[in-house]
Amino acid sequence: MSVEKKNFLKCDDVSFYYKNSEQKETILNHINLDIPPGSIIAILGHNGSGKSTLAKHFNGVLVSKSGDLYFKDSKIRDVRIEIKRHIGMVFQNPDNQIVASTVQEDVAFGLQNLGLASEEIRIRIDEALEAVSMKDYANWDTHKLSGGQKQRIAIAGILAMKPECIVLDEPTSMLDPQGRKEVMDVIQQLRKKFGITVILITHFMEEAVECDRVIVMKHGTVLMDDIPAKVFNRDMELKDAGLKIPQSIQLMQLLRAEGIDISFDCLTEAQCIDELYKLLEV
Amino acid sequence: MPIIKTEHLNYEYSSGSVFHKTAISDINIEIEQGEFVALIGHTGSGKSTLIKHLNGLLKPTSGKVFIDGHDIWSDTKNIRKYRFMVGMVFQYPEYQLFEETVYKDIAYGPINIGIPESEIDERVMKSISFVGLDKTILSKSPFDLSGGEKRRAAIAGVVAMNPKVLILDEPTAGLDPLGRDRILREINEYHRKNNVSIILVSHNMEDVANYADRILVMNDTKIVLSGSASDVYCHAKKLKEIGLSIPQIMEICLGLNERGIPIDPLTTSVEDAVHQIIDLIKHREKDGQEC
Repeated sequence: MSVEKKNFLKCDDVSFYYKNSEQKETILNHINLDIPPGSIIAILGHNGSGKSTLAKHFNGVLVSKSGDLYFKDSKIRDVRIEIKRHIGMVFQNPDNQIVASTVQEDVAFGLQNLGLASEEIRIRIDEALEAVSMKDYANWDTHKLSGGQKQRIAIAGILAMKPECIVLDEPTSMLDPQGRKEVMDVIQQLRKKFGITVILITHFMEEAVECDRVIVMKHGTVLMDDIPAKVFNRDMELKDAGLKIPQSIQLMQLLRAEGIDISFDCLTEAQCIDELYKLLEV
Repeated sequence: MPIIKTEHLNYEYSSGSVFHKTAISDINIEIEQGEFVALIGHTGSGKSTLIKHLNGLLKPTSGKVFIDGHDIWSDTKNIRKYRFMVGMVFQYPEYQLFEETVYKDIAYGPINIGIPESEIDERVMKSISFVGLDKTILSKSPFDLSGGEKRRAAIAGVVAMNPKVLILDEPTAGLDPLGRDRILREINEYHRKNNVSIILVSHNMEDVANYADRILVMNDTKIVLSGSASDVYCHAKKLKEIGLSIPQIMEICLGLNERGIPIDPLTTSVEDAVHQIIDLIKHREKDGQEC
């Protein structure tokens, strides 16, 4: 493994607090994380656990009060401007992220600010819209899009900058089930097709189940950092942290408690159906 | 007599221009005093347009809205009165907090509808306890609260107006799972204790199934299904077709049923699914021995 691969994105003892004259409110408390390239990582946690504050550290929007974040051996605090080309961010509210009146202008916004040649911009817009399945909408008015479509445009805008990592802060929480599915499909593609590292902050356990690794935050600290199968097995601790395990996993746990032999790798809906089918087919 | 009734309600945006677009068509609903109704539908199905008619924020293109038996548009001078009877909590209500303290924010509504000052304090105290917030929070700035607390403080501001009907548009959006459960429980408690009618708008059937007496499902400007949670779940496939989610446990049972496993495809609880699966395994073992 190359040195670069070892140190892709790292938090080294990161703390952050807000301070006014009377009190100090700690938001992040000694966070240590090591995120390998090409992985998709979910960050879970109750409201106020520090998830979003941590996310804003990854691309230099916020700077830690103590400890440091590293991107490929550079301290992020030293490269706060450049880092935004390498690590892009998508936020919760689709309406707050659209800046232009047509879809392709919106995707072009970041590129124009990079000073790229217009032919290059054209190519990148087409590629990015293709990647989020929005090519047919290139000339549409942005205000006529659904929430799920707007989020995909926001992702395309970041994708066009060819980042190495994308951080998404609850990208689906304002969307309906259809919109959520569209956006999650695109997020999975980011890694599979483009090898982009994805950090997904979410309240939806079903989304976390499909990630490589799950980080659970509680009151500004990292409570768990493991593969989904191990994290979702600690249901009492998750409940303590304000979270709930998905029904698919609950079902598997209850069946195991009844002495039925079920693999611990069985997490998603589709996996549960397959496992139970094997068990019950005549 | 229903507290809210609509007759052939239609609404068209940009009516008369080339951009006209029907948002709701021929809606006929009745909501009884003390009923808990959930309104489900995907984005753009017409839910938000419909609820804005129920307290007179939008005037129908055609059709009528009755509140407490009165046609609310028969005399536009009275429309203010109906807006106080039907309280509305919009999506992300925490963005509407604006006062210096939580106390002032909650008191703002009651003061504006002319409640005597002597009663204001009682109203504020009552509504803060209904939404499960501690009294110490009243002197704080609403902007210093956490997300969940802000949401509850905003709901308290509407509750303080003592509406007969409380309409909430996606009150759990963006909250963590326990925060979601908590707000729904509090709304239900408020509904039971005060015999207030609740209309809860949501994308999520799983959230509302436990509380709602009746579920109305909207699709493409119309009400397409109406009934108890189990009545509506009978149409699981239709719900999926119109872009709504069904509980995960139901998805699993439906998937197994489709592959020929004799399990009830409309199972709504995990415990129920466990019982059925164990019975199936026992049966199979018995059959195996007989062979």
